[in-house]
Amino acid sequence: MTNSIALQLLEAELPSRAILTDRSEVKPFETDGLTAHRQTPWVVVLAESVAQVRTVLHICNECRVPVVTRGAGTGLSGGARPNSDGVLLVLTKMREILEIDLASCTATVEPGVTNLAISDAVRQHGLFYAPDPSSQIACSIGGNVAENAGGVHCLKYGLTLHNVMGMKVQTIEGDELVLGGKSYDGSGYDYMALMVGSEGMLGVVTEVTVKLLPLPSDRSVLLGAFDNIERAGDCVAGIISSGLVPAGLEMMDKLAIKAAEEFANVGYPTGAEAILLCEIDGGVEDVKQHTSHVERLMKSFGALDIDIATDPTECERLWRGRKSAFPAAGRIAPDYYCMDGTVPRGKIGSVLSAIAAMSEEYQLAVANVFHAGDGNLHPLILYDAAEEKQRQRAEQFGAEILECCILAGGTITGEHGVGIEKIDQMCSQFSNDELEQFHLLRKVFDPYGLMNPGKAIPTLARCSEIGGMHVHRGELPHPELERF
Amino acid sequence: MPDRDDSNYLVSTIEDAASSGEPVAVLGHGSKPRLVKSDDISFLCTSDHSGIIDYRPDELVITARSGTPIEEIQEVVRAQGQMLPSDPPMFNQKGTVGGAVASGLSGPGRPWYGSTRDSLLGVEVVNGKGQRLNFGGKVIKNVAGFDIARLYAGSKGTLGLILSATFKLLPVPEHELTVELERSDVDAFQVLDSYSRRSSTLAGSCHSEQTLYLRFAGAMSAVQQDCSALDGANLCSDFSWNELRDQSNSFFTDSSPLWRVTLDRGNLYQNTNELSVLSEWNGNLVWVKTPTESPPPVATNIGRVDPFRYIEVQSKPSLKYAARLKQAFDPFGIFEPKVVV
Repeated sequence: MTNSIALQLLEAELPSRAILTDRSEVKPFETDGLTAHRQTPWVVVLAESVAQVRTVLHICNECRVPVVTRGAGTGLSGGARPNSDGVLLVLTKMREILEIDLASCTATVEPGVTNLAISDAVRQHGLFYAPDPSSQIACSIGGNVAENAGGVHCLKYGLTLHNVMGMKVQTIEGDELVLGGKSYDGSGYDYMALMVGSEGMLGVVTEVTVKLLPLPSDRSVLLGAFDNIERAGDCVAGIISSGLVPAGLEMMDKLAIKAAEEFANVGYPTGAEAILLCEIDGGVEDVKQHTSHVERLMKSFGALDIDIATDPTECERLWRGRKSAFPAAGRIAPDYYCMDGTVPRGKIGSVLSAIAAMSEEYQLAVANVFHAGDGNLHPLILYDAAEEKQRQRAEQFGAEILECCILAGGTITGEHGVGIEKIDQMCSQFSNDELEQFHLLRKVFDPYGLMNPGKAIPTLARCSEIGGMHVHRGELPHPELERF
Repeated sequence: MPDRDDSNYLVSTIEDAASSGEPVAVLGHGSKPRLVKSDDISFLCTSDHSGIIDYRPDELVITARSGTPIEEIQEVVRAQGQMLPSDPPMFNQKGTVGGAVASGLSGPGRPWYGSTRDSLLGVEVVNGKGQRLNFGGKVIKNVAGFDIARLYAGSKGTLGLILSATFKLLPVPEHELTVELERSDVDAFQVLDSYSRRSSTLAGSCHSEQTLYLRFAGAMSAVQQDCSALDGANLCSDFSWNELRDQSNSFFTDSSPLWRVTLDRGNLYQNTNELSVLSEWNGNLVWVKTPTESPPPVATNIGRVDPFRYIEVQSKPSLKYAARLKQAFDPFGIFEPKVVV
């Protein structure tokens, strides 16, 4: 009956408007961006202050009730899926920009502030916040920290990890950790590196100080059309190894180009097998020089056609197709399943070929849209969720893509997180000793394992169980495990 | 340095230490200052465990054993027009991959090119139970599991032995120029502040004894434009950023207690006691020499002071989470038990 005591305590300590328990009220919170997985939360708390966050954590810890922290709920790996017997701690009401400090070029914000709101607030000062996940209009900075969100421009400007300078974290034991600040590289363990990407399992971030960068004075976007996807892949490696770092370098395959063009009507070459979108930014001179450099490279790698945009409207036009790739995919199939593996750039071509072969095997089409510059693939598996068998095939197909990424020397998730979606593939990427170390680390901050339980780090028992069921190309995963 | 894989020896030594409970201190070239006295500890040396394991220039990624000299890495990648962006210091021309990660130190370009932690993509380590563990990987975007690889950056050998590390590389800028300007503390601060809110090719700053040195790096025309826009700047050919990085220039050559002050961005170090001071990183990293072992005054709301060299530090109890973290990786307390991170 600890849950009923916990609810009494929550009701005694928090304003009634902050607590939702009616089925109709909590229903909107039963899923995040991974909509195939739903769970009705026991209680939802819409926290309005740090004090309320601390209260919720304290009660959950005392009553041993699980607590899942949620931002805007745009995550794509089910990291914010609630527990049926737990509290869902929602932070979207904490959305104050606390300080814009022009002297240090930092902004300090509450966790519910949206990613784009930060850049919007500082644009008048000629500054911006660099990480730009596709969901930036809606996703919250707290969620960005929890997932180490990336985006189109992280090739040049880094991930959330590289752009967060400080944070305040509430632990479930009631401590407030003040990490980093406005200076570089203080001494002490790098707790901030642990918190970024921890998927809500180590603490609740209640304040974030981010680095602001000067808006580049100039930019250009090049669109190169290729009649062969491998040549486009080679061109990516060619650009990267030629000694310049583009602000963004994206690739789309034929199906994605066609879908995007039908959706956004931006003049993409629908006859091409692949396109590369390359953004150059910086000072006027830098941009001029690097743009012609990339143009030459694209030609030398066999681009059939190169479109160069230098004014903001034209640049925006070329990006619009790429940015609408996901809704566009939603128009050509009832459902799509977005994967997120990363491979070394040199393996892009071979992994794409493998995905094409799997597409035939599973009889499901795939549109490929991805951050080619850093090898982060987003294959969109098209399927119809109304047909149960298709849904299962899509999930198996996705799992096989991730196994393929591991074999290519990459990782199962580049920027979307493990959540519940890729928890089984964690067993393939990490050894038992490594998973055990993750669990020990988790206990440092959450001894009872109450924060977002069941996500991100699989139990060894789970790995052994699925290992028995999942036979990969005739090879049994985890041969080191005993199986009787 | 010949290639050699000493992993098995290093792992078995740690297994022995774990069973006997005898502490060890992991040592590379021994080039970084050790502040906590540890006469009674045995050293486990990684400097023979050396060699580049994997380097693919078109991936801009390199993996090397912990004993590999940083100098060797920089030479090999520079031949391909690339660089280890954090440019870790090589005190006395020495320093290994493992030492760079464990110390977490970065060179003069840190605010522009990122820190050693920032460019670290993955590590293979041995924890205090003698388990060989891999965290992170060889790709830039990777969010599978907690970021334990970066926890090792700056962990000062207290969480385990680093067997190898993988770093992201950057292309060497096409062109680089250094200029010098005569500027007081306040005037130098204003020059640096003027760059913080506009894009430029600035990639290094050093201020000491009324002289401000600025490094510009990028496309030739852009670098020239930035240099010529500066009033009273003279091209400077005899200032060495490597000597600054390695603390081998005249400021660092005496044996006065040396303090590392990290200031919040946008603040000027108030040198109220007229101490000998050198600042880099846009003024956010300040080196202060003091006549005695008492720390220089720094307002706690804008910065913090850490001892760096020629200062003896007393071991003190760890804070709650630091102690638990140590316990999670090193349950028998064999790695540098006296060092507090």
